[in-house]
Amino acid sequence: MFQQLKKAAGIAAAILATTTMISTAQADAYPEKAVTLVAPYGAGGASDLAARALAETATNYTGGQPVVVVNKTGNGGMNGARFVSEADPDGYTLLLSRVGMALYPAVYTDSPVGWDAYTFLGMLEATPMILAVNANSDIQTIDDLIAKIKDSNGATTYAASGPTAIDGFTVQALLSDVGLDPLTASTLVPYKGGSALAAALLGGHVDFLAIAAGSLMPHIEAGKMRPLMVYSPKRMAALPDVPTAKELGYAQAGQVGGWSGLYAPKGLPEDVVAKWTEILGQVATDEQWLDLAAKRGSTSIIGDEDPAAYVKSQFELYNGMAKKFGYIQ
Amino acid sequence: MWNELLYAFEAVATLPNFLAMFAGIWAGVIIGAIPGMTGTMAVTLALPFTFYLSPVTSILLLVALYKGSTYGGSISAILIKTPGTASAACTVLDGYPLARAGKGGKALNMALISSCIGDFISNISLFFLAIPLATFALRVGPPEFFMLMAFSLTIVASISGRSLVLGIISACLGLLLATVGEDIYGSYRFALSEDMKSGLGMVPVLIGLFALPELIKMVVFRPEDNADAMKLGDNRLTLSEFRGSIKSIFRGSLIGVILGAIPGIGPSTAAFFSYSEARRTSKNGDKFGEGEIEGIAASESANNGACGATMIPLLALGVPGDVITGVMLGAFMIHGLTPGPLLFQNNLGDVYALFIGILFSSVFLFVAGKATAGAFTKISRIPQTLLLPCILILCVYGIYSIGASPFDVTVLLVMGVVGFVMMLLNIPAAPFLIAFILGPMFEDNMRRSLAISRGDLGVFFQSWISWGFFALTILFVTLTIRREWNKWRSNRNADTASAS
Amino acid sequence: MNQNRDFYAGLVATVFFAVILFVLIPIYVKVPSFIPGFAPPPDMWPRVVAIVGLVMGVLALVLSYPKMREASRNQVEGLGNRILGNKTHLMRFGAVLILFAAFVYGMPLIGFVPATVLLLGVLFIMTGNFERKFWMIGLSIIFPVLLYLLFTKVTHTPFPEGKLLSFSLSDLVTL
Repeated sequence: MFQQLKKAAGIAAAILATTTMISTAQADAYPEKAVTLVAPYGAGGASDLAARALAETATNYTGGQPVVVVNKTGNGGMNGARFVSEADPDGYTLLLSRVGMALYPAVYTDSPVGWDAYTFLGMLEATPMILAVNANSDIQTIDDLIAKIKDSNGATTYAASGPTAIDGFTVQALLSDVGLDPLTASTLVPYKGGSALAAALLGGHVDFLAIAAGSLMPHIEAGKMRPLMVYSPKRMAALPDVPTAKELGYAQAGQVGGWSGLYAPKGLPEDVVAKWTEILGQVATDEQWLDLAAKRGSTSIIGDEDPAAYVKSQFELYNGMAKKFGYIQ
Repeated sequence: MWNELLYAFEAVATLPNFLAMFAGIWAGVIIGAIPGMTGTMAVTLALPFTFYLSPVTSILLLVALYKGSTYGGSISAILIKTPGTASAACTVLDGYPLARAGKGGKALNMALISSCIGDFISNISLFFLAIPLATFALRVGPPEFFMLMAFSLTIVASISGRSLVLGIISACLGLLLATVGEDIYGSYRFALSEDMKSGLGMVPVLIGLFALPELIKMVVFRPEDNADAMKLGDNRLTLSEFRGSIKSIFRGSLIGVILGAIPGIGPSTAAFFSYSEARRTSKNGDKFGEGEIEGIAASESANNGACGATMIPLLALGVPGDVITGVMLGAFMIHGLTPGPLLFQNNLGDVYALFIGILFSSVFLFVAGKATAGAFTKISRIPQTLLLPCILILCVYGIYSIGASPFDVTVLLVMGVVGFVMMLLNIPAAPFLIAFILGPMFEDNMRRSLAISRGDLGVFFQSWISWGFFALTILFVTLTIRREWNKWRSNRNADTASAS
Repeated sequence: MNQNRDFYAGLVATVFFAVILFVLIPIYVKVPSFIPGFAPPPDMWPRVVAIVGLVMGVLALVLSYPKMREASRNQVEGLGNRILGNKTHLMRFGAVLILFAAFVYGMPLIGFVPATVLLLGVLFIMTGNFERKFWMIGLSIIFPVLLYLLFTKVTHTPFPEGKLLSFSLSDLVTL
């Protein structure tokens, strides 16, 4: 009852807000004030850096109005996502979305925000994930690893942010592809954040992991970790000898990967959408943006994919896996 | 090596570097002193500026902000019982009573001197011990972490004050509230509302528990001395007071360096650890919590000591231990530098320049701290009836700005009421606090260890680090139980004697 | 009097931890199927803490009992008289609770700045000290506005503007 009331009130508010938008936005002066870009994960992480890089670059094309990054963390990124999806669709509150925005609703049926509760402004970058082991480990190839997992009868350990996080799905998808039980064939040890995960592997507290390239590249370059496989559409420029999951024929793991996108609340006025399409078009060829993306280990994909279709396919991929792995009955 | 050092010295001794550091430290002190504005916020806000600075200058700016804010937190902790940053929570325990007794200036001076010494010691160890300490820190896995936290939690016994039972009740409340939200596996606990899924924020809980009860007490009881400002007077730190605390300062600095070097521990835990060590060993131990200057020395030397040491795993391994060093890692990467062993191989010049620059920071901290603390001392002249309501509004604004979340403000106000009720019931707040900070690390590492060992408890006894902390924990628990037993017996005897 | 306070503390703790243990944990701490059997489930730690708290609460009750009897013989006034017995104090505490609740629920409606101005003003009045009236009036308006300007400039925090006000404004615009 209360829920319905809330919904009705929300719709009423949305209608009111859009009508006011139409009446005031005719000046065609968007943006008139600072734009808030919400990064749904903590400062210093991949989403934060991507948000700040976008904010820095986009500020050059917004007619002098700053793009301000606000970190709204918690609840697997859903806190920030909920904040944006419930904000006024006036173009002054945007979301730097990550794969989690599609993954979370795919795994939790009671997700506070649906995967499509937004206006999709565009995809920004693809961030590869790397499967790695400690350099001191006797595991040399992906086949060694799988053989060891099979022999150990569940005793191998891998670090991840949680079973239903993207870096848990990387491993579970692989296990499922080779015909093992994704939940019990290897033991998940949960850590919070990319650097804690990397430290766990460096310190030898877990056997392997498969997490975002940005957190692992420094250690791989330093020779402390050995990359076995890359989760990305094509091989990484920095690791030309490491095969991708797709090449190795892993059907599910081949589709897993990280990305960033730019979302806005649903019902964004046409002129604001057009303005952002224009801004993103300029960002796509901006040296600073490309440079910052390369330094984080990502590739810019602005304009490569239709955002709504891409996000939908991602949602369906993870939803399918969640059902198969037994997270959703 | 000497040539490189000399070269690095020339590279770092430039005007922009010094300006960046001084501005960073000063801004950090002021931001840290404002309740609700934290070091993390300072560093995050400064990150976009570093896009345009040279790598060494930008890291120096961020480090300066971090150090400044860690000290700055102690100013508001002492003067208005509001820890500006979580790491200053321990400074409140003795700092505020001192300020109430008209010794605010003295307390601030002690905080500044011990912060600077802690800072200097951690800078030196960063210079000489970065690699060995980092290697040691990596070996601290979940089981060792668990044992360390178990030992740290026994601190509750020494900061419980009059009654151990009430202290444990307070700690249990803290441990319980810390479990609200998402656990490490991603399942939810006590998510009574959608907002509670992301847990209770550290800063609103801390400030609510400490600062607000004072206000509520004033409004409810309207004590007579309200209209008066705090007494002023004893501002000088005497040499004998300094000498009396010097052991605690050095011990605190070392604790800070070692704990700070372990990723994930950070300054607040180091401060608590050092405080309770000082309390156990000091001859003034019983006066801790009532305005003992040595308590400030212990906590402030440790939090600033940890502050520099958190750079150790970042630089030597490329592993940031907390959010702030995480932001610094981002700054390094933006400039195309990757912290870790490679940095020492490829960019040794930059590393040395950074180290030398950081060494200077202790001096800057002293100057900026001295100037700022002097100005802030004037706060104590404002009458309480005006000051306390304004502090609440300041906290409300500061806390809202952390995450633009109304829920954080709600947590602040609710915790204020909880703190007031605890005050009425004589339940000490300090154990709550330490439990709230350490609880998640204790639980997470216990569950992690048991996941790794697949339920085998033997995992907790596989290294000498675990054994060491285990023995210390047992020893301390035994001593506490014996002390309590003796107290109880003597009370009983006294009662029967008086009854007869 | 101390012993009397211990009694209340024990009582509050016992009730609180009992509610946590027997009501909140069973309802609000779910154990998902995907957590492996050998790793401690999410409800293990809260249960342990709540049990320890409960035991300590009962212990506080038991320990305060003998002193309580003696205290009641001597007619020592306890905490009960300090807050429960004193209607004025109780009413003031109630007023604080209402004020905080009004702020939490009213802020989204009237906006952050007006809400903080009101909160500060009411708190000043509740201190019961009117020696510095002009300071109180001036501060309660200027201080929140100053903070608002500071935080919007420095951290660009988007403070809520208030639905009530924006609705009335938008009505003016659309109609």
